[in-house]
Amino acid sequence: MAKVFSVWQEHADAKEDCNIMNNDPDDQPLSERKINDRSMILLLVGCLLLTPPLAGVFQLDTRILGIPFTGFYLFAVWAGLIAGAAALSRRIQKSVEWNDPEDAQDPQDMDSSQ
Amino acid sequence: MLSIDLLLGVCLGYVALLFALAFYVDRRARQGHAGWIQSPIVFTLSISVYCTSWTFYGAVGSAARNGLEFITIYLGPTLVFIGWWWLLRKLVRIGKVHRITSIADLISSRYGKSSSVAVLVTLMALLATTPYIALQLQSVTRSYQAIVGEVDVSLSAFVVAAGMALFTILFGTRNVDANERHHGVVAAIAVEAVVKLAALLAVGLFVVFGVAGGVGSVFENIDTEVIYGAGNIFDARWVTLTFLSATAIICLPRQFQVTVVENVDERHLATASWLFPLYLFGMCLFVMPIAIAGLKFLPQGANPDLYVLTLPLSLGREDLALLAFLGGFSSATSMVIVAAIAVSTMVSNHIVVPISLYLLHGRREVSGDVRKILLTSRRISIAAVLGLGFLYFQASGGSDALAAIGLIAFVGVAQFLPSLLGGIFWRGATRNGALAGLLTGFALWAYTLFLPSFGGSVILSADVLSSGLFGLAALRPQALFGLVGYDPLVHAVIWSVGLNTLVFMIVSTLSEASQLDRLQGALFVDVFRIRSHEATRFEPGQANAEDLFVLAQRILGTEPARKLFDSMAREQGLASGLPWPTDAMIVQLERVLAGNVGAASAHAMVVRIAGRGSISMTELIDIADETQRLMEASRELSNKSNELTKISNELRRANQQLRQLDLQKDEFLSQVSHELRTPMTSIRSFSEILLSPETVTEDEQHRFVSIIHEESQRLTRLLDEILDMSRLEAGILEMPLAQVEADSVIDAAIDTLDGLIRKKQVSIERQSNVDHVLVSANEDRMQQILINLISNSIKYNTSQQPVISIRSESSGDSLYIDVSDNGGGVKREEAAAIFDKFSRGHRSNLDHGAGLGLSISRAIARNMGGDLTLEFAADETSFFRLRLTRKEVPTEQNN
Repeated sequence: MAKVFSVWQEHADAKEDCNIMNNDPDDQPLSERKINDRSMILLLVGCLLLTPPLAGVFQLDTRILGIPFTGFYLFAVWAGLIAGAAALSRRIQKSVEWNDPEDAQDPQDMDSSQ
Repeated sequence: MLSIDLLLGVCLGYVALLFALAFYVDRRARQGHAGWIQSPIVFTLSISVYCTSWTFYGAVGSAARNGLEFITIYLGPTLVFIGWWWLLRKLVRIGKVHRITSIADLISSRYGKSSSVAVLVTLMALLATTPYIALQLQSVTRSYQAIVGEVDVSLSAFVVAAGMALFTILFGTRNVDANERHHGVVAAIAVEAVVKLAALLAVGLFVVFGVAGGVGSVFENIDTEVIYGAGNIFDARWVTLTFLSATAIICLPRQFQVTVVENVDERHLATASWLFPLYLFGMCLFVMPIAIAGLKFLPQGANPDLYVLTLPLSLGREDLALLAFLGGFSSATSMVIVAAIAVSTMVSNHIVVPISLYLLHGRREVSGDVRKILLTSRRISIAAVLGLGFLYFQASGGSDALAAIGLIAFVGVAQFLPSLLGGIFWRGATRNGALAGLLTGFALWAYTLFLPSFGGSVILSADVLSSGLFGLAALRPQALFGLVGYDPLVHAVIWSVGLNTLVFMIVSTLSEASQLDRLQGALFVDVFRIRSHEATRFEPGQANAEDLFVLAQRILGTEPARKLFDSMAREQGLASGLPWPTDAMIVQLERVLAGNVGAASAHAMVVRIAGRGSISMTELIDIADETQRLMEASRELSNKSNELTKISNELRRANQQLRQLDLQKDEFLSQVSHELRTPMTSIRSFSEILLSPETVTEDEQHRFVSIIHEESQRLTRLLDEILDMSRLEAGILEMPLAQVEADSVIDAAIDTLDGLIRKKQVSIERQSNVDHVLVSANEDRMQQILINLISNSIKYNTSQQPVISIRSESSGDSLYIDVSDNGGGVKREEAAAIFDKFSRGHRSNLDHGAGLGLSISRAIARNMGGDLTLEFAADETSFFRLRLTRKEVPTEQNN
C-alpha cells in the first residue's frame, strides 16, 4: 500500500509541474491539484476524528440535549464533513477539467488537459 | 391488521408504477429526451443502491444489538465520497475511455485484457453477490410475513425473485452496449431511493416525536451500554468495518455499475461528493432512536431486524407500516435489480460468450449472431443469478446466518481492492501479480470467513472449525496461524486483504509484464494525460476491412455496424465503402466491441482477424514512457536554467573585471600624467628663468640648463618605459628567444652597473651551483631585468655597508636567480602591490624612480616563459626571484 501511495505521490508531483494557478480569492478556480489536496485533507480529518485512537477521546458518559455524547459527536463530525464537502463541491465543479473523452477530439480540450 | 389484499394491491400498484416509469423513461431517452434523468441528483440517488434492505431493516437490528457500530457502514462511503471522489472520477474516466462494462472487465482490461483475471473476478463477484441477493429475498418475505402473518415463504420469495428477474430482463437488457445506459432502471432505482429514505425518516420522526415525545426523551433511562455497545466502541472492529464499507462503495459490483458504468457525466461526482454522504446521514439519523424504541416498546423476543416495520404496526400506525414495507421492498428490489445486471453482464461477457464463441467456431458466421448470444446469455444470466439467490435462500432455510452475509460479501469484494487500486495507480502491477493476489485473498476469505459462516455445515465441518484442518491447530479457520483475540471478521480481513496485497505486490515486482499488460497499465495510470484514441497497437496491413465488418455485424447487428463503419470511413475522408483498417480504426472498433462483450473477449476476437496483434514497440515506448519523458523534459529545463545561471554569473564576474580594469586604466593615466608633470614642471620653470637672462649669472645658467637636460632625459626614460610597458601588455614587443648562458648574463649585468657599484661601495656576493646552464631567454631583456633588480638593491639600500647577494640554482627544468640585499628589503604588506605600476616600496624616498621598473621586469620575465616574484626567506627577509625555463631552444630540438 505504501508503494501505491508513493506512486500516487509521484503522480501528483508530476502534475504540479503543470500547475499554473495558486492561492487566489474565493471565486477564482483553483488548480486541480489544490482541489485534490483539500479533499485529501477533508479525508484525513474525517479519518482522524472518526477512528481510534482519537475518536476514543470522545467516548464520554455525558449527554448533550439528552443525547449520549458519542452519538452526538459522530453525527456532528459527519455533518461537518458533509458541509466541508458541499463547500468544496462548488469549487470542484468550476476548477476540475471535466473533459469527457467524447470532447477530447476538440483541440482546445487537448491543450487544457495537459 | 392490514389485509393481504390491500398489501398485495399496494405492492402490485407500486411495482406497476415502477415498470411504467422505467418504460416511459426508456422511451423518452430513446427519443433523445433524457432530461432530468441525467441530472446529478438522479445519479446520487442511484448510488444509494448501496442502502439495501440490509440497511433499511438491518441497521436498526444492528443498532439494537451492538449500538452505534452500525454507523461505520456509512462512514466508510462518506469518507470516500468527500475525500476520494477523484479516485471515482478516475474510474469513471477509465470506464468511458475503455468502454468498461463491469468491475471484472476493468480489472481484466487493465491486466492485459486477460480472460483468466476476468473469469476469476466474475466468479468471486458471483459468489459474494448470490447470498446477498438471498438476503434481500429473505427480508422481503419476512417483512411480508410480519404484516400478514403466516405465509408460504418459498412461494413469496419465488414470486419476488421472478418479478425482479422480469423487471431486470425487460429494462436491463434492452441493449448490450454498456455505454448505452439503462435509463429506465436508473429512474426506477432513483424513485426507490426516495421511497426508502422517506419511509425511514417517516418512521423515525413518528418514533421520536410521536411516541417518545422529543429527541432528549428517546434516550431517557437508557443505559449508555445500549448505545455504545459493550466495552470500547472504537476498537479494531470499528476500524475494520469503516475500511470495509469504504472498500465496498468502490468494489461492490452493483456500486461499480451505478457509479462508473451508468455515469453519464463526470461532473455528477462533484455533486455526489456531498449529496450521497448527506443521503447516508439521513438514512442513519433515526436508526438509533428506532432501535431504542423497539427495545422499549416491543416484547422481548421481537426480531430487531424488523423493528422498522413492527414498531408502527404494534403502535397502530398501519399507514406508516405500509410505507415502511414499501421502503424495505424498494431497498431490496433496487439492490437485486442492479446487482443482477452487474453480475449477469460479467457472467455473460466473461464466461458465456467465450465458451459459446469457442463452440461456434467453424460454423457459418451470421450477422448479429454474437449479439443474439449476448442478449440471450445476459437474460439467462439474470434469471440464473436470481435463481441462485433463491436457491441459496431455500437452502439456508431463511436462517439468521444470512444476516451476517452483508459483511461477508463486503470482505469478499474487498479482495478486488489491491488489484484495482494497484491497476490504476501503479504501472508496475502485472497480470500475474493480480491473479496471485486475487486467488490468495479469495482462498483466505473463503477459508476464514465465508465457509465458517455456515457453522460447519458446508465443506468445512464443525470439527475443522474448532480444531483446524487435518487437526492442525495452526490451521484453525478463525485463528489462522495462532492469530487469536480478534473478532472473526477482523481476523479474516487481516489475513485475506493483507496477504492479498502483499502477494499482489511481490508477484508483480517479480514477474515480467506482457507488452499489452504494460500498455494498458500506462493507459490506465495516465488516463488523464494520454490521448487514448491515439494509442495504436497493431502492426499495419494485417487486418482485412471486410473481416472486421463481418465481426462488427456479428456483435452489433447489421445496422449499427454499418453506421459505425460509415462514420469511420468518413473520418478517414472516404466518400463511400469500407474504411481502411488503420491502427486507429482497429483500436476504435475494439473499444466499441469491448463495450458489448468486455475487453478480453473483444480483444480476442479482433486479434483473431487482425493477426497476432503485436504491439509496435515504438508505440509502447512512446506511451509507457510518457511520464518519463515529461519528467526528463522538466529535468532538462532545470538543467538549462542552471546552466544559464552559471553563464550569467560568469558574465557578471567578467563585467566586474572589466570595470576594475577600466578603473586601473584611469588610475594609470592619472599616474602617468602626474609622473610626466614633475619633470615638465621643472623644465618649464627653469626655461622661464633662462628666458630673462638679465637676472641669472652664467654659472646659474649652466646649472639650470644641465637640470633641464637631466629632467628631459628622465622624461625620455619614463616615456620609453611606458612605451615598453604598453607594448609588453599588448604583446607586440618583439622578443626573440635564444639559448643563453645564465651566468654570463648575470656577469654582464654586474659589469654594466660597475660604476654605480663602485660609487656606493657595494660588495656583490655571487653564489652559483649551475655552471654554464643554458636557459631560454632574450639576452638583452634578461640583462635589463637583472640590472633593474640589482640597481634597485643598490639605490634603495639603507645599510652602511651594502651587500647584495645573487644566487643562481637550478631545479627541475627551471633556473632560479635570487637577488637579495641587506638593506631593509620589502615589507610583507607591500609584497602584493610591489609589482603594480607606479608602486614604490617604503624606501622610495631615496630616489625618484617612476615605479615602472619591476612591473616591466615581471612582464618581460613572463613573456620569456618565466616569472619574477617576491619571496620571503625563513627569517622574513625578502628577495626577488627570477625564474627562467631551462630548456633547449626549439632549433636544436628539431635537429
